[in-house]
Amino acid sequence: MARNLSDVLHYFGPELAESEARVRPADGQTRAETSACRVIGVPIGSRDVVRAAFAWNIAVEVVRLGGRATILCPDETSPSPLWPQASTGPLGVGLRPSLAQNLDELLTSAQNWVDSTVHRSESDLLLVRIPPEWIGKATGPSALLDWVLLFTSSEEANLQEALTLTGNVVDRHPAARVGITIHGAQTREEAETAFGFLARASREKTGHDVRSYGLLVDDLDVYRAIVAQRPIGLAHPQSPAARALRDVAELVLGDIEEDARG
Amino acid sequence: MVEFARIPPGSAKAIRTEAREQLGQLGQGLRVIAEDVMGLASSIDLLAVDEDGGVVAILIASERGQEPALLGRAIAHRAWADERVKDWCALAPELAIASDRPARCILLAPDFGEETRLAARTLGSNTVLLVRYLALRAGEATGLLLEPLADSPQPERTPRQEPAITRLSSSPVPKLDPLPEFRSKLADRDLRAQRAPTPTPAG
Repeated sequence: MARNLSDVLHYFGPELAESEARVRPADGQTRAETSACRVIGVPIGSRDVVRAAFAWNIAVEVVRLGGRATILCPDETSPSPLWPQASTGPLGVGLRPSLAQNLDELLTSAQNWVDSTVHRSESDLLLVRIPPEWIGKATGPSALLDWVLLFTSSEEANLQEALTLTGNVVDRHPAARVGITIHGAQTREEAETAFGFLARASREKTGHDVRSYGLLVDDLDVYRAIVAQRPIGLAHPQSPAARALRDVAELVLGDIEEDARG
Repeated sequence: MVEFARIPPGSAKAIRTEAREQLGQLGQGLRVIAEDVMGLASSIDLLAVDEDGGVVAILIASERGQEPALLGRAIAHRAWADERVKDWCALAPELAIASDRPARCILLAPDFGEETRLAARTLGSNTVLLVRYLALRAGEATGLLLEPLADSPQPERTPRQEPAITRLSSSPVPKLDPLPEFRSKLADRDLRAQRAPTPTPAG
């Protein structure tokens, strides 16, 4: 594994000011955020009910913590197997369908939603489901990739998949903030080790640092919530799954607030 | 903007001192318990204990071409250490050495030839880890970058992730970029619940 000096400079050099890079839209791109709404792209496959449940429940937790959250979902079928019925759901978490067929159209949908909605605080959040294959087909930067949240288990195959996805994102959008949430780990150390592997591999293979967004618990409450289409935080607020979801939501909101402070 | 340059690694003693400070880059929780220890017939540069209590003999090649001989010495030191682990446990329990874990070796060198790499692979996991080092200057400070070889056998137990380079040797001490930290307020007790089998997320 030959490396030259240029490969290792990132160990020493100051990173590009991330916040500056993040908020600056790529050339020719429309900003997918306003000063009072943050957009996070969440790659979720069209039949990936587990990750969809995580995204939806994180949105609910954001609302429980005082923010507002909406999910924009480009789904091929209606009703989608991924989400509860599209509408304003529990605690005002909205699910907005989109007819977008590619990343550019999805960006337009997101922008339309942002422009047509009155945002009341910096904690307003739009989670956008991005079909993972759309990222690979994108030909250039997209503001939807400014901030991407990946869910991965600690299994090697899933970590490799997340690494590939990270590479696809930063290839097209070098200033992306790529967040990683580990799910399915049996212990905190397992999740920490999985994230460490991904962080190191990402730095080595893509030259890009990922950011940790906690861990999630795959316990029965998650699957019950999927079946019942009820948010875990409301159905089982004291469960490990609910605590973990809240922790991830706090990390997201914390970063939004930190970004707002500049 | 700090300027970077590859520099000669310095004397054997300087490399050892530098390597000792930078072992955290390997992410194995290594605690150095002795330096320049006389083994069977030659010295062990650093003797360390990993986070599982295993003894680790660290040998350093200060120049290219020394590593094939170093590998032979390392294997001998490993056997020598294995014979003494029980004594060390009895004499110094505070070191928290695990008497039931075989010692292993880490070789540090500017580079490794094909023969050494193949030999290390053949020895198998938990025997030897090959680590290449690179001396760099960052502004007024110097540091060693440690890089485990990708084809070098790794310890079977996945090491706890630790930040990469933490500091350089001279003052002022600039911080090198550590790997991103894992963030979560959850502890193991928060994860305990009735579990369902994890379905494979479908694309």
